[in-house]
Amino acid sequence: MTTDGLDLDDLTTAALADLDAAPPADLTPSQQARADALLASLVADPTASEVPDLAPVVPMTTTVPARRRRLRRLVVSAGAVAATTVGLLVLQNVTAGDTAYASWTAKPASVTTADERQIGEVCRGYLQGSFSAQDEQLSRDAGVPEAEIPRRADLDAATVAVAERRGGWSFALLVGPNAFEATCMLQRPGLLSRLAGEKYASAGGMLGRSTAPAPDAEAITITQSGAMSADGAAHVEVSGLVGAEVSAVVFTTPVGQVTASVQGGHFAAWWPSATSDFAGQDGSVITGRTVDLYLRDGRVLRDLPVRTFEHYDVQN
Amino acid sequence: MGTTQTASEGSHAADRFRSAHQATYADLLRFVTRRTSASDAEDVVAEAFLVAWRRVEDLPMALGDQRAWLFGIARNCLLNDGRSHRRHDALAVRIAEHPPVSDQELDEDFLARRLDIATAWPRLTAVDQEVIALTAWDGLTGPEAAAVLGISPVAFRLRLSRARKALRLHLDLVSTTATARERTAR
Repeated sequence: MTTDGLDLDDLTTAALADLDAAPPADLTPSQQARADALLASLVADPTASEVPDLAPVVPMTTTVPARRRRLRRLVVSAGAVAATTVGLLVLQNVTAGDTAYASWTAKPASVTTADERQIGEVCRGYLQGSFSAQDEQLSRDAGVPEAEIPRRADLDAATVAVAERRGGWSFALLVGPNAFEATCMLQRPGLLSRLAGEKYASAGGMLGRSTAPAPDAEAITITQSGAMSADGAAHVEVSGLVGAEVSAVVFTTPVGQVTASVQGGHFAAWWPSATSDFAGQDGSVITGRTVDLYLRDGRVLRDLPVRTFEHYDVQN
Repeated sequence: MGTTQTASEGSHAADRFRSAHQATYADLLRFVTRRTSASDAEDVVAEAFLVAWRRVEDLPMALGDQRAWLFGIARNCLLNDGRSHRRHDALAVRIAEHPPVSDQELDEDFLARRLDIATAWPRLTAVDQEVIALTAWDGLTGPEAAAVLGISPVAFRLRLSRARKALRLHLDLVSTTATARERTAR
């Protein structure tokens, strides 16, 4: 141990050394294998420096061994929507942790058309893989009317209405026939995982059908909202329709002003939350919040109360 | 890698990079593990080596300098991507939650001092934690640690002096508190 300039007595120095959170140790065989694979992939292929966030990785001569990922089946409360939509839940695999949403931003970053297409493909694939007859039954058990239970065929035909990025997270709203709606959140995988071809580190989403009417020109309709949690990581998400004169939507939340993404008549937003924020609020995760609507003519409709919604609790 | 680089130069750069990777990977992983979650550490190290490979022409010759250079890159990765316990422009450093059992633990003074440090550590600023950790745990010399932080060796010595003083102050405080508590208990 080097103690250059650290003029502490021997006892303190020894005790300090004993508190090293990463004391000397050999790499485990799996760590060594990943280290070797990383080196080989970087040195063997000059284009490795262009590893994308979500896209399939450039051809590699070496396969990076996948790390064992802890999978969690989550208990989620999906509060839904303006007397219309459902919150059928297919969330799983979200990584919890105190820094889970550390990179989140209140204002979304736009994505390129290519990114949007990619996010849409990954989301649809993820949702298709997660959607089962059992999920439909969960909705029925939760009291969701038959006409509001989403169907697999509608998901298959769904396209991306809104796509955005907030830090390391991509979020998309997919819409399809029969008022089908789905939200999807993808966590950017780490470099090692991207090299191994993984497109996301974790994913989650909600499926539903909305029979809510289109909003007036200077209003919005919230068609889906929900909260998801896993250990220390929780978030609230909300999406819906915007009137023709609405250019921006800003929610007032416990984490501050959150700007929604507005695209093609739809909006979507999400923000980190504490589970206590949405417990015991009649199931609605956004009741009591307010929203500012920015209109195309420059006016701002401030502090509009977000309505109390009917809700269904669906746990998966 | 520049487009004008010859095959020979590229091969030489790759050899140097391989040597640096093999010599420093474990140390870099430990450096990052002290500053972020264990689950994120390998990804951060991978990102650091990716950046290093892009800038391989800047890779220092001496091993000590290579370690410091790579630690500095990893530190910037952590500061940039929000996966650390960042406070302003410094990184908080974790201490062991469950220190390893050793013969020294039989020594009462040693146990008491270790407990005092564990209590005092979170009270230090991230700046103080960083400079102490760089020398005590990351095994860097003063000039190497200064390079990691991107400051001059003189500035580093000043920071280290302040951090050392702050640690002593907090140790005195927690020791006094503990003593007073024992007295009250009696």
